[in-house]
Amino acid sequence: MTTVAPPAPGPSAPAEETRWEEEVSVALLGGDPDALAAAYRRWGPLVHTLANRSLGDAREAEDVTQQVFLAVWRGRAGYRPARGPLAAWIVGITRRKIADALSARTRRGVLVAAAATVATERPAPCADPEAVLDRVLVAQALRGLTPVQRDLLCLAFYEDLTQSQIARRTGLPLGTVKSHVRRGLHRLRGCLGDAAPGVVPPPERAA
Amino acid sequence: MTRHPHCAELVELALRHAADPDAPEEAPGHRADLHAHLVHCAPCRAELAALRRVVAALSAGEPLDPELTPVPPGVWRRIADEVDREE
Repeated sequence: MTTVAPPAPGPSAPAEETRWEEEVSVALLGGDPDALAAAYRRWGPLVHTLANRSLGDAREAEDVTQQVFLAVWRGRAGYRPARGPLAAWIVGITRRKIADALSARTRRGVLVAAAATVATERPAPCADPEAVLDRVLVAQALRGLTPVQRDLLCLAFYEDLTQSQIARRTGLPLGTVKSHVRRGLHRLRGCLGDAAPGVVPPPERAA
Repeated sequence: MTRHPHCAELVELALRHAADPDAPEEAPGHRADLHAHLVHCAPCRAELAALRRVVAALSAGEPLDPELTPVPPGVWRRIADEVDREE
């Protein structure tokens, strides 16, 4: 690993962050191992946190983190910048590796139960792991919004206020509240990574 | 194909669906256009699905602690060794 990957940008520079991400993508596609190191420094903690929260096991989370970045390296030719940012691609790989780890765990549980030849309890089903991942990713992405967008989304969702109540509480015009909430949600939509194939549902009442 | 909806319309749709999945349609003509468009436009459908998931994650309860867990130091070593072996 000889060439030097670009340093990660500070947390409060979206344009710089995008440019940095593009440079790392180009270097990664070109087979530069330093780009993998840069991606690891930038997204390793996120990947590891996602694995840790959904698996609840530090060892397994380390294994998944290792598998994710090896998959990023080995599968780099499959990354299509036109289809979305590098971060979303890495999050998509993380989801698949976590799902693999959970099914391996289920298989082990089944084997253990079979070996015991008694009907033992199945491993405790964890809360919907996809939903846990979404919540971690959204909590992270909220930090990248402007303070006013973040505050208004928190009032809307975590304090369950209607947009009119928010307008009254903050003294902002209702239209302003609405547009901040809209823009905030729009900026958050990219944070969840690639949905697994088949997850995109048809519209709810097709006219 | 009909025109792509403005992102604000998709956000409204995602929010309204979350608040009340059976909400009556306020502007039937316009919503019918939107639905007709969604049937044929996979990118808009994907966008709406992503927005719904964001809304669902936000609606799922108190915010999670946004602090990330640092990766233990040995993990990068193992990745780098593996990559070097394959070089």
